[in-house]
Amino acid sequence: MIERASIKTTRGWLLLLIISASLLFAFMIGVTVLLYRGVGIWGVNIPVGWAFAITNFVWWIGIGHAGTFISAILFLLRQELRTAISRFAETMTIFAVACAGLFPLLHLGRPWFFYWLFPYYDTMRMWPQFRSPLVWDVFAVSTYLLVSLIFWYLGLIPDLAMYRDHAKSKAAQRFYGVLALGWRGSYKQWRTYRSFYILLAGLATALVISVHSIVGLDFASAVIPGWHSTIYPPYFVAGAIFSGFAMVITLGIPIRKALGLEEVITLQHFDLCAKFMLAMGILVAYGYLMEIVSAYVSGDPYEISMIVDRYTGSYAGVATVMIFCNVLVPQFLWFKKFRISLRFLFVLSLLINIGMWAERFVIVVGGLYHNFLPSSPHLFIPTRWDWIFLAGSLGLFLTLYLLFLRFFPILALSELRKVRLPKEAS
Amino acid sequence: MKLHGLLASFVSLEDFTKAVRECKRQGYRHFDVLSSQEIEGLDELMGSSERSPLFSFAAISGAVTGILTGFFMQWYADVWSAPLDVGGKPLNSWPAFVPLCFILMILFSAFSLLFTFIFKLRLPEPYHPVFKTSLDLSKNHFYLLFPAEDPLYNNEAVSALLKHLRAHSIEEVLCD
Repeated sequence: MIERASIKTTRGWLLLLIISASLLFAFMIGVTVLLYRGVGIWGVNIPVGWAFAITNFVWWIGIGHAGTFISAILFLLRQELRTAISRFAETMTIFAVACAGLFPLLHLGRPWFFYWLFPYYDTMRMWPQFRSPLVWDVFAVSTYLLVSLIFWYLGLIPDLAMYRDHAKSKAAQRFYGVLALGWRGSYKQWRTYRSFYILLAGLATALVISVHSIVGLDFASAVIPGWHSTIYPPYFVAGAIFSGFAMVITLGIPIRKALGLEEVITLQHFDLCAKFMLAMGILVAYGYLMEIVSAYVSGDPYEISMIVDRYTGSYAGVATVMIFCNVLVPQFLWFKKFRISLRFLFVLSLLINIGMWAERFVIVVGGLYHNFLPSSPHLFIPTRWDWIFLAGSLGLFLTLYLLFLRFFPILALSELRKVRLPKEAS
Repeated sequence: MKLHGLLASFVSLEDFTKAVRECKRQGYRHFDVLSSQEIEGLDELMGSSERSPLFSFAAISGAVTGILTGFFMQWYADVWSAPLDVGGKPLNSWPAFVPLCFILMILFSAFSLLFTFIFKLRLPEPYHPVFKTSLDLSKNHFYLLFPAEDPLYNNEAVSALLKHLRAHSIEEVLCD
């Protein structure tokens, strides 16, 4: 029986923490400069007003989806295998959504007025425009963060109680004791917990589908070519789960190694994740194909020129990366040999993460830089700050994750211990 | 120091199951089970199989409140308080309000569940007499807690019964 599933302070952990904290520090410097000088430090221009910030936003929020998928949908489907990977996937969700949420805020121009996005009664009677998908985003993302946070924390409570009882020092007992809210695992507590958890899982399930659909609507309801297609919501959801599973594998392989969890997180888990990723990859590839088909079927010269430009124009290199990483490379997963080779899977999952980022870049920048007027096209060239913000958000994510790994249970311990009484014979 | 009850621990699930069954047979009603994990099938053993509709009710009422709040909020802002005519489109363009109604349905439902959970269990509960005992949830033990308030309770009898049922340890739980 595992009593603790946290990493010890090792040299490797410290080294990684130093690297990611340095990136986080660079991010903080970036934010300071941004607040002082404005979004002009990025390479954004007119017409490419969104560029890296929104690419990063969509990418991070997509990554979060696998966590909710594993913890909620697979829970409702009673897939017991999920127990081993649910906690670290859920944790990934929380931190990924936190990273995601920062980008639209920082992109506001005057981030200190972020509360203008929420409806409150002010003297000028200025309301958010509720017909705009951008306002839906604010609600969708904050709801996603709050509900995932509740789900994650509730899942943690029984494990925190275990940590409290296991702790040696008074300070640790206090720390975990406060967080565990006085959980003692009584009959009534478990009964209530179960009724609550299953209903919350049902709600989180609806969020997996809806949040990225709403993000997708940002790109569906505009008028410029490439941002004017109903394909986006389902295609974004598939892409989100695809990239999320890639991130689960990217994180899962080192965590399993570092904590010696070979018995708990087995090759079968990776095999299944890889299969699922393959299925999602095919859906994403279908999305790419349908974008081309629907552009030609529409007969709209602007749509056609957008799609031709996507694969032959200024950003054709990025589109090639996208096709290579998201369509070609996952085809290896048809073979079991590759699905259970952890080294291969690790590299592949990194490639898919890069590929999915490239996809979002292609959609965001590729759609914006090239529109109706011959005078409009304007290339977007990322500045040093664009890269610092991208790397910095990775630093933020990794720092939070490494700290979590050190102090909190990375496995759903009490769920792993769950027992079933045999049916009474009498 | 008042006696709160007796706490017995069991190492194996088998012993524990037998013990619960035997205690029930002997007529004890008010004992509690403490464990680090969920025990599926315990409801049957404890004889309380009916499920309370409390949480379903909380979820549904939260959901309905969320939808209504969502619609009213958007309608109030865009139709009543600050109507903005965009190309002659209808002010009460309800299809555009659907996504937010959906999101707020989930948000309100989740919070209504959370508050129900917190109030039902009266969390956070910083003090309980068992925290002063050797109760250790990190070990994979199963605990039985016999409250002294039970009219059937008799210190010697319960203690002897538990010993007979092969409890791993038995200790008295004291209130401050």
